[in-house]
Amino acid sequence: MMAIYYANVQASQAELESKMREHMTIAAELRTATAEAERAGAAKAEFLARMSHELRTPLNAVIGYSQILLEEAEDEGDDGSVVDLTKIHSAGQHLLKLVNEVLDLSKIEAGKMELDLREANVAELLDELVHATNPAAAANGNEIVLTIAADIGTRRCDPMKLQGMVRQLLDNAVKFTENGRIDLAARIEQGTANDTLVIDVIDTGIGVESSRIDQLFENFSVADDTSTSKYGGTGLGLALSQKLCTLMGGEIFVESELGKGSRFTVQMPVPALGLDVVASGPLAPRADAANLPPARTPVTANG
Amino acid sequence: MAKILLVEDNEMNRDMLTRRLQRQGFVVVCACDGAEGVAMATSEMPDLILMDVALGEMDGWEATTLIKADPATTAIPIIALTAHALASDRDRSVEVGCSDFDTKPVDLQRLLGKIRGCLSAAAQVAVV
Repeated sequence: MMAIYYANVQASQAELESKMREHMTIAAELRTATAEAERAGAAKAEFLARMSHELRTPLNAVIGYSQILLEEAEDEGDDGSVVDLTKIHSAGQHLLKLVNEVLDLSKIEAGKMELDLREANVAELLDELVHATNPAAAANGNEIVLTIAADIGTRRCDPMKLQGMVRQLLDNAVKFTENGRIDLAARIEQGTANDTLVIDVIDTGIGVESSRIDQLFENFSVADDTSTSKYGGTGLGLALSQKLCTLMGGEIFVESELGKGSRFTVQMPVPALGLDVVASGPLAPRADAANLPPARTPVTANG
Repeated sequence: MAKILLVEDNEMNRDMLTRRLQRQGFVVVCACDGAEGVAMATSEMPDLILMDVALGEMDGWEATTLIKADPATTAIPIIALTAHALASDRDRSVEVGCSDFDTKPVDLQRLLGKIRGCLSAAAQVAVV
């Protein structure tokens, strides 16, 4: 009887030892795999940093020198060259925009995008953005109306990423709206620890089918093939805006009606205004609080 | 015609901005880094300095501070060129004594407006 127990114990011990060895092997394999993944991550980040420089430098030469030639052709009244050079110049800028978007997305996905927090005048950031987007809006017969609540002031945020996020939403609105109106409105909802910065981008454009709203923020998502041929684009813009928003701790909500227009609402936490914070630069806020109701039954697109 | 000292470390940007300013009739001299910028402010006595702030060892803020500290060059108006239109950059440019600041990539018409503004302000001070 004892012999059977003893044999059983011995067998169990042997099995345990073999299991232990198996676990040790797996642990070692895991360590190797982790180290490899870390090396791959670091290599990817380095690759991105290098590509970013290598792609932007020649592109900046194309854009910069075509700009110089364009100015010279305009001065000399050489209209034929002006048309051609304008094409090179705007194609260069388009390509630079795409390169920047791809690099930013890759950087976020590699976990290498960090927040650069500083005191920033939100009104000024949005005003600058509208100024930069106005030509594209005008080309589509659109008007951009900026409304900024008076109590926004200077907030601690990452100004470049905030601008980048709103730029994508604004570009999207301009692109899918013709002879319409685009409202860009910003206001503050006061909270106890944090305030919430609420930014609305509302257009009167073609809208999106409700079944497609959830897919809007996926990388390379475009409504359909006919949309691609008419509007172009890679479908990276909205994906980037949402990733930037998530990085900053915010969410984007979408409401849309086919043929009527879309409303993108960003809700982002920002620190409440401290008493010692000196508000606002020389640029005064444009208007009083936006009297826009919050988005109705928003579809959360954050996922 | 007015003489402009351009302090910019990127060769391509230096070449492009130089040519664009020369087309507008300005005499342009260039420095490739902050230290050279400070030295050329004294040796060239330009009417205005365009200072890229993101330079190598000595950045544009430091170079501006040195130029403003020297009685011989303190009156030369300086326009800081920054990568972003940030309130912090604008505050910094005021702090170190710049007359104005503008962002890169350069919008030539906007920059020309600022250059002319600074030059006429300096001319008025000189007359008084």
